Amino acid sequence: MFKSKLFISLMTFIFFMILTSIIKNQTRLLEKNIVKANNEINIIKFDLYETQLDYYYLSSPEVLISRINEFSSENYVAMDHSKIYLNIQDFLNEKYKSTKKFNEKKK
Amino acid sequence: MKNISQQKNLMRKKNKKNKQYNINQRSFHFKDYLASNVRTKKLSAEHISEDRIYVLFFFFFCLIFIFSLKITLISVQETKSSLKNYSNSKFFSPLRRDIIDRNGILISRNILAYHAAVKPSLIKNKDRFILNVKLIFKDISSENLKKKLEKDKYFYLKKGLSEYEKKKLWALGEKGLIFESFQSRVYPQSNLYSHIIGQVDYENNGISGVEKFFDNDLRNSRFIDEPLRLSLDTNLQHIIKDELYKSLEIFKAKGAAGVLMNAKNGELLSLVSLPDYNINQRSKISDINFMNKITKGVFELGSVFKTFTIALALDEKEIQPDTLIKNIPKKINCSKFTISDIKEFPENLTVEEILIRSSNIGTLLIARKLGEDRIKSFLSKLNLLDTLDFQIDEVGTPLDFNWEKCKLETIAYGHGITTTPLQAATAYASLTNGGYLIKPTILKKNESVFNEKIISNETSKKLNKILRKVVTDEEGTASLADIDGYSVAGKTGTSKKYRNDKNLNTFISVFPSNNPKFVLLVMLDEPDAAPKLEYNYRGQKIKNIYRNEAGWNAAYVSGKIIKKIGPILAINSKEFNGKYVAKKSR
Repeated sequence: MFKSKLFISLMTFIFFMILTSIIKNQTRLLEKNIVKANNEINIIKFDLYETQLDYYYLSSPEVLISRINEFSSENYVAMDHSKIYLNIQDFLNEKYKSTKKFNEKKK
Repeated sequence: MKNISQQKNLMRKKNKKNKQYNINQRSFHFKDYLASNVRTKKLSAEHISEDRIYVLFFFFFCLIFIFSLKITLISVQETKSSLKNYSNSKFFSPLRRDIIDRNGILISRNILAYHAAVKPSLIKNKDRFILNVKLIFKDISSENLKKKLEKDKYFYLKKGLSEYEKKKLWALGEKGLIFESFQSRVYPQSNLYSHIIGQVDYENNGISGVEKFFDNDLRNSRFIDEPLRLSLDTNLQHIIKDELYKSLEIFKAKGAAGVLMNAKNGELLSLVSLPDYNINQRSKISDINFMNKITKGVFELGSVFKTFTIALALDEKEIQPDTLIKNIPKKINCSKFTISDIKEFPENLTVEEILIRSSNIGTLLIARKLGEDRIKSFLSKLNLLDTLDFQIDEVGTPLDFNWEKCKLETIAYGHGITTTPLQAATAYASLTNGGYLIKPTILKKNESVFNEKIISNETSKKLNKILRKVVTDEEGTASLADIDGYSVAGKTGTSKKYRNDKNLNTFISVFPSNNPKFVLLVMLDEPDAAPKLEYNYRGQKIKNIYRNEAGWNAAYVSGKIIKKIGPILAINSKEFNGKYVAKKSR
């Protein structure tokens, strides 16, 4: 009887011992992964930080215009106020009006 | 006897409490005693065993709880840092906040850079080292380098290396070469904001411009991940700069400047002063032509001041736009000076005609009606006489003058009085936005706060109508700024520089004139006439124009700028709608 109680206590102890070591090990692994991921994030953050700078330099108006002049022969001109439509229906109405006028003149 | 019976009763009561007591038992047996003792022992052994299990449970529960807590804490901390500190890492933590424009485009940022230092004791072959360094840095003197190497003391070979220079030096493989890291401030827009942003020193202290004015804010580690947002717009800034650069070539001007302001809240959308410089390069600039002409330059701006005189007279109800000023003389002698107009005007002019044609004598007569005190007080209220309260330190102070003989008369048409272009543009914004006094700002505002009224809404509307006619009227001086669709209004100003008798031409425009939202000032320093330039003047192409007034250059440049920035401004302020566009294109 006494032995069986001791056995139960020991078994409980061993069970929890194993459980705790598994959890501890998992925690350690998780921590390791977290540290590793953190390092990777830091590297990516730093890369992003510097790449953003490159992006803003390369997309600055001055650089873009010099690139356009270098690689394209097209001339870009400012768009007139009257040629800007924010709505396709306005554009179609306007085109319809001008076509109508043109057809009337033709007749 | 009594005592004995009491004792018996007590015994009986005690025995009743004992569960194993048998009331019918007449005698005590040793066998029974042994059995009850074994039962008690058994019970206590069971209790001990249970307690042990409880202790074990508790102990392991605590351990598991601690580990769980640890995991939770780690995950919470990580979530916080990864969400917020995008630039803060163990690799690099900036010492200054970023500066961005109103659309979030990066203007200024700290990066990791290197100084090249030398430990002479570690360099074996000094002659070869000098030769190699000379091949990389041609501007370094070999003799000086030799002397420094002989002294055997640690010294800097070059501060602030470029990536290319660092690689070249690294490739030398010299042990004595030390790369000292430091944080360098980089400006990806290079020249674009040179006069506003300013610079920092090698210790990351702001030494000029926004970098200096907001130094404490920019170095505040609590907000290191929140960039400082300015009101400036990179695209607008580039367009204005580009047009001003072209104007330098066309009119052979010594310098040019432009400022675009939100007339409602004083936000600066663009501030350009030419010539400019690359703020990424450290060099000493001593030429005064490189100063910030908009905030630091103090100039006599000429006829743009006539608007102030007319505005005050209208607000004081001394005149109305259609009031006829009769018998305007051709010349007026004032003290030792003779005041005249640049060309002959009719003898009788209405008030609006005086501003449209820019008559000096007509304005002078109106100023005399107002008197010195009222004009002085009005100019002072418009903040034209004192140093402007602005968010960079490079701000000029208008020159002091005495209100003596003839001062009222000359000031009425903008001579003998100086101010900065930014002050003049701010005054125009205040007069045309309904009469609300505004303060220029370089920081993005979320809402407009109107404090003080400088003129009535009615006067402001009247003034806007006259300024519109300056651009549209046949006799107006700024026809070249009349860009279809934007209802441009404004006033030209041509003045002579005392030093060399050359022109300083200014045009201050406001648009759209029915409800001004933007003020654009364009100034050309010492421009020449451009006879080869083909002007589109009131629908006609004309050439061989030898005139050099503001209407023929500053207004022309303003028109070019408005044509380009207009659509951007209109789209940004949701100005376009179907009906409006359809109407305009008929």
